[in-house]
Amino acid sequence: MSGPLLEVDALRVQIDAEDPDARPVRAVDGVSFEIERGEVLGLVGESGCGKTLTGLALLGRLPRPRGRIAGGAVRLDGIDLTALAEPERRAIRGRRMAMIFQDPMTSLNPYLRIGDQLIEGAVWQGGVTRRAALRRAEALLARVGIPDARARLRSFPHELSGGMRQRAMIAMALLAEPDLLIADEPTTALDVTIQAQILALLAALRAERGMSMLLITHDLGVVAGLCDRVLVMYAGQIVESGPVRALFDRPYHPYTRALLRSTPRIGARAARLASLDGLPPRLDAAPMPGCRFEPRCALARPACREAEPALEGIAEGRDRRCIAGLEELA
Amino acid sequence: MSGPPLLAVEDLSVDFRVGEARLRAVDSVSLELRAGETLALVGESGCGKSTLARAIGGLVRVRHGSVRLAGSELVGLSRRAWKPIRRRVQMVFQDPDASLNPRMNAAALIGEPMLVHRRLRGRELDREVCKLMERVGLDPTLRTHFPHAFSGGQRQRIGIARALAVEPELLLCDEVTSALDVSIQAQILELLRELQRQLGIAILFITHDLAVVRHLADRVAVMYLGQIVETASAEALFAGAGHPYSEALLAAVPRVDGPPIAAAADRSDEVPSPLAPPPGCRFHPRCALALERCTREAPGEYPIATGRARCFLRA
Amino acid sequence: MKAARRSALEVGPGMRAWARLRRNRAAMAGGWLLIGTSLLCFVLPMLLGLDPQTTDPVRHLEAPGPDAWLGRDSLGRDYLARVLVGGRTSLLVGLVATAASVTIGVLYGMVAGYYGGWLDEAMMRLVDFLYGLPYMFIVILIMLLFSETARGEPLPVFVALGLVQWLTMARSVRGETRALREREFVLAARSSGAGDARILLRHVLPNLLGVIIVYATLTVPAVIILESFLSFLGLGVDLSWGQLVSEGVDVVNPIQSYWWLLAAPSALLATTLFSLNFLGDGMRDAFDPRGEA
Repeated sequence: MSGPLLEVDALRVQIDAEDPDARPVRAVDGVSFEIERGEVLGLVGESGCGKTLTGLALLGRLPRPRGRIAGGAVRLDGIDLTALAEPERRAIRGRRMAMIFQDPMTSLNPYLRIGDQLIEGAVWQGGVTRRAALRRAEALLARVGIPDARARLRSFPHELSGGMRQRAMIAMALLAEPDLLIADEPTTALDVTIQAQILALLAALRAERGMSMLLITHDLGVVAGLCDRVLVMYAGQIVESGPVRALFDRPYHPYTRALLRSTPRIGARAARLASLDGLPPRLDAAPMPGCRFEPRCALARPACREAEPALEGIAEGRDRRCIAGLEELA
Repeated sequence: MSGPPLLAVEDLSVDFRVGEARLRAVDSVSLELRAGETLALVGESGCGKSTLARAIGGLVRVRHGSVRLAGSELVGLSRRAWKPIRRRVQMVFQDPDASLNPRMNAAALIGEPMLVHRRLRGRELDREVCKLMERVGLDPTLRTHFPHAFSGGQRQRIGIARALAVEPELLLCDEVTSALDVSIQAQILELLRELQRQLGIAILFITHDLAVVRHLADRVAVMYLGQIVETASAEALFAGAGHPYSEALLAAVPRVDGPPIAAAADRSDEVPSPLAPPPGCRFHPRCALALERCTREAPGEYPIATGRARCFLRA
Repeated sequence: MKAARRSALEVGPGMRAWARLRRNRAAMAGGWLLIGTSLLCFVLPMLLGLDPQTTDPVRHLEAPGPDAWLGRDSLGRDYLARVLVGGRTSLLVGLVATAASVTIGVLYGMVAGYYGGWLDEAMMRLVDFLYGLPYMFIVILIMLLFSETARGEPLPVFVALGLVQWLTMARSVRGETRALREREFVLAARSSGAGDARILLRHVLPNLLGVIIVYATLTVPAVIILESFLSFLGLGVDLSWGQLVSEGVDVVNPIQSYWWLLAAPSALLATTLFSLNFLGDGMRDAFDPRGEA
């Protein structure tokens, strides 16, 4: 098996409006990227940029009835998931990709015991007895740091704290031994000290299983701590990508730079936090020529309004969607 | 900044009834705030920081203790007596969606306090509303719009404008930037700094985000399970060697310019339930430095090099 | 063009709900049907000079014909006139009794929900107690309280029905008020120094409208059915759809079916009821906060 584990090719996701006469929202507009085996890729952006929907699209979990994939392909190990029929797609997704979310309560059925929910997928997929599945579930719960795992199998979700529920959700995702784990804001709803533990757990799981991860978040610190590479999204598009350290030390896109400069640092108080005026463009508006970030960009010039810049490679492993010179972004 | 403090909270406690049990959400808290100063109140969920702010703002009942605003006692005041105080203390809330009445437009929302307190009406009221909107960076022509038409950052500005409408001396900000994107958060933080410079208001800023504290605060109070465990100047807190919980918080935040997170699957401590806090020092089950004494005796607030801390070891 | 259309941003949640409602075809159909029926009952008799009261024993139980489109009843009265004029009563009863129960229920529920504590406990226990009493029994008692001469008049029926229906409204308003009281914008208003009256009027009540409207549109058909039932039992108003159905049933016999006597009021009653239900369902969907964009 060579080649990347996951290839996303010009993915487009659309959400139809409530009012049948209104335009649909082009939430994800031509996103392409790859994830290698064993790699942790971060997907950052502010609210509304399309990062969550990208993750949901990979798993076929777009909001119904109005969300749908409007174009592009998603290939897992060369197999085009968008071209498959639903049952086959579900089989692959269930076994090789898994997702964890921000709020464990929406993923966990409050009326079922933890153990029953954990093994549900495995038993349904077939090939394992209930007892064997429960044994594995117990081992996994212990592995993710839940004390007294056997007793916890019989607990209901509301009996666990937020951090424990998140761990249970991670165990549920891991049960099928996925090749790719998609984590959407996995620690945003948790307290700082608990967040640190969950992040450390994810780091450990990645190290011992060689699992790939797509980490979707708005928190740059989390990305810096866990990810190898990062994609920056804005208004449904990727505007910059590259290795985490290099990108954060030296951003090549004005939006990335603005994000970094508006993030307060624990290490030192900045004289003034840079801020961005205005708002991202409405994704249900008619497509306009030119760069989507131009109205808010400090480096905008007339050429920016004429044509939308393409995502181009600039240096080793670094792409960006901007025509400004690199020296202007120092 | 000299003279008596603008806000002096002493030994304040607030209880809630949870089913049959009694929860002490705020436990004997003391703090001070001077005019023109920003005090950050930091802690994780369930530590009681929001309840403390609401108690200071007269929105929840106090069990015992004292809250003095420029010398006058606020605890035990009747509803009527609170009205003039409301002009001096205002609160801004976390959720920009929930804190604005969806059925009132921006002008009505911002104008309401002025209507109630300064008895402004008609054109004069409208003029003041426009002035306030400009001051917080909102376009006054938008004042006929309803909350749903504004972005989260704009809604938060409306909340701030509303709070400023009565020209308060003290602003209680409860996680006002937690629901906002980082670029919008930056705008609001800089706005608050600017307003403080111009108007000299004191700000009690509640947050769980230590990076924001670093950027905004003059002094910091750290809360854990209803108690203040450390009070210090901002620089001192970030320099370290304070209460072990503060150290743990500082160590836990993932930094943009920091190292990769170390793999560790065995750490799994929990925040104890506020209904059943641990005996002795409340932090001892999670403290790397805990002594036997810590499991039995509850430490008081001892002066340390950089301020005050509730810890035997740092005293 | 731009100035003519009020911007969607300046429009409150109420107007947006209204827009959603207008897109709901079933609800709009129900609404138009209701308007049509009301016009029929209130306006047509005057236009056509119909007379529901004059008896003409000679022509009793006459089948529908050119000068009496719906035939005549057992006393020779013009049935079309009776059905239409009877409709006025049924519709009015629905409206007035609902208005009464809404007013009482909202005031009661707001006070109980906002102040809480022992007042809320006491008020709600009273509601629980009243709820437990046999409904028909109460209504009949109230009806009997009115003197003989008042029997058959609409007023006792309004009173009886209104007094019983407010309970459900009070309960849901109280629940909603309790939730609203803790919402941050109410806290913000308190923090701004607004008094209770202002908070209840400006902040709580407008946000209750959704619940109120939905319950009201579902109470109207309930009241109309109740009135029909009362009339069927002989306790209702002299001339209403229920009363007409009752009269129609009286003359049913195996030899001659005077179908028009039953068909007309029943059809109108049924149409009105399901129009109200479509409209009520549509309103509930339109006001549902989860439908908010």
